[in-house]
Amino acid sequence: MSEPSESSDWDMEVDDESEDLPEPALIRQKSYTILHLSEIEQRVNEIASEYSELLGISKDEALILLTHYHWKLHKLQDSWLDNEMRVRIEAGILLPPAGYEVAKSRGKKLGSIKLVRGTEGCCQICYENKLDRDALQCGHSYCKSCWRQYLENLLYERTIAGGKCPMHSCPLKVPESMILGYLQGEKAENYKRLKCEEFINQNQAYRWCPAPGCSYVVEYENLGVHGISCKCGYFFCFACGEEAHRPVSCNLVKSWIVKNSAESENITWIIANTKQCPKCRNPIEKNQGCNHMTCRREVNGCGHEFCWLCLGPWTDHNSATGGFYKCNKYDELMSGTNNAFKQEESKREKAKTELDKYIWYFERYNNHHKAQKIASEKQVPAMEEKMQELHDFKQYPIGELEFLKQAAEQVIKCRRVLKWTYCFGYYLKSGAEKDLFEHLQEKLEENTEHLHELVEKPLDEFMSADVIDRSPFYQHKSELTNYFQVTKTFMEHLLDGIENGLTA
Amino acid sequence: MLSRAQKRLQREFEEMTRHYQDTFPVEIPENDTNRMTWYVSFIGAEGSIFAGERYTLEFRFSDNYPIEAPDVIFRGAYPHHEHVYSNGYICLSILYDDWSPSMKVSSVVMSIQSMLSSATRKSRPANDASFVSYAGGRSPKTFNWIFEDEKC
Ligand SMILES: [Zn+2]
Ligand SMILES: [Zn+2]
Ligand SMILES: [Zn+2]
Ligand SMILES: [Zn+2]
Repeated sequence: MSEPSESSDWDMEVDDESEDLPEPALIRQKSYTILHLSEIEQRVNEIASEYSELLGISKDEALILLTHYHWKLHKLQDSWLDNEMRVRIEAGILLPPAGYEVAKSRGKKLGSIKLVRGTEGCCQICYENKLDRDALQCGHSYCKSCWRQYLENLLYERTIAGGKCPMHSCPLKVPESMILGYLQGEKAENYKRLKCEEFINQNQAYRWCPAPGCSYVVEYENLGVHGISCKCGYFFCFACGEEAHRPVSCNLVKSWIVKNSAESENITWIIANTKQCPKCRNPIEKNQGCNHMTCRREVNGCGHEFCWLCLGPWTDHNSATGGFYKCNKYDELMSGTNNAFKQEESKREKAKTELDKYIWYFERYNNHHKAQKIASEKQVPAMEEKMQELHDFKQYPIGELEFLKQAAEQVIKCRRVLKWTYCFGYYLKSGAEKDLFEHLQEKLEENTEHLHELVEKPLDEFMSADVIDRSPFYQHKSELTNYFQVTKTFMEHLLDGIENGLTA
Repeated sequence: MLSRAQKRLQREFEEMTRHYQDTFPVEIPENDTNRMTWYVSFIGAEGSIFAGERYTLEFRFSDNYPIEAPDVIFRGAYPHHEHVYSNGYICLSILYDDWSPSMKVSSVVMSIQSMLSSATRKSRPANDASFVSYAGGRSPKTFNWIFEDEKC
């Protein structure tokens, strides 16, 4: 167990010139907002209203233009200033007039999209005579039940944002007021959700919380690696959408995840542990032990028996060639001039060491991952229960018990950081940087284990009805709070250090 | 009581027999009491490399027709065209993404006829064999068609 006060001021050299550099702590200040989908909708409507006023068009039209320009506001404004008519035509709120030429259309002001009430005639979808028909500016009129069916189908196909007149190759878009006139209740809500999704997906400043089932959205202005803590409790990276992963870069996280997928790892394993049968080329796995291999017929093999090391027929082997566990022929081959054989062997050896190295890091990564999961799924809720009991039975104010939860949450944070340091360490080249890194990683591990023990200390002794003296409780509080602070500071320093270079 | 799709198809059928009796004759299998499968034949346009050749298209309509496109494939002999697979499937955008409920059987047949007319030589799609074995018995609408040129 390490002494907490020592580790708070660790032996790493602190760069005094850091004030001249961009202050990392500043970038990490909370500069994001967690929004509910209804707040996104409000934002979408605000922008549409703003552009309706700015461009002197209806809100329906503004929404169509914004959707057409993928919510790239500057691009819309520039294009509008350049050629208003062209923007209207391309976005589908205006039919190109006869003899339309882009060059001559600059500077023209135009009317608005409007609904046309059809006169008696045939609906072009159901072919029935219906009086009550709707049409856009193009005059392609359809009966109300066909419009409804058409719009419901667009909703079902998730193409309703940007949906066009049902007439083949008619470019006019269906305005929102009309969509909402035909779709009610749950369908209207689905439409609004799709509209918001469109907005979020097109906008770099927004991202869905990646936690399964969570429908919060983050709004974030400063693009870059950034841990976002969602209202649902998930802590994720805004840049790549994975779980927050300091001190590792998004790219390394990506490679690590790919590496961890069973498929890619199997390939390394196969290279390290299998050879092809020299006769039928079937892959054969070596399970340890003796060099006598049989290409087994049960698994589509040919029955050929050979030596694992030199790949020669087993019939050529006997006690004179080294017996079952050694192969002199192999030694000869390796010291001889057969380069192809040697290359093949060194590839296998490399794969084997590479695999061992990977397994070593992965096991540690995975252990912290599991501990982190247990701590967040079991320990934090259990701690909250204990806090309530202490409050209910012993009348400690809730505010005085907060430290228990904070400490439990710190354990989770440490586990997560430790987990990612094993990904970081796997990719870090050997050298002074790595030596120092591993030393500090070990210290953080010690601190975390100790903090974890303290957090897990049973609180029953403070709970009993006949305990009147509160000083043991406050002593525990001061010990835990102190250790929590020390560990937290150490972790922060380690993260900053790794990100800025420990030996730099 | 006839469904919406059936009502509309009935009107289309009347129109087809009235205006296209000779050019695009329609046959509906007798055992299909719902009349949701049609066989429509046509002859390759004069002056095209398919001139005089008779082909039959099979239309299968869903209850959501014409909001949803019909499944359309060649039945029996199929033209050797770069957008027609040997299982009869057709790579033509209006049958998939570009379908609109304002289209109808006659306009589909005309589009296919003109797709054939614009070909300058008889050929097969490059990926025919692999596509046909992959397609199995699935509806052509379940594939992600990529339309490589405007005619397609
Ligand atoms: Zn209608
Ligand atoms: Zn129209
Ligand atoms: Zn969330
Ligand atoms: Zn990331």
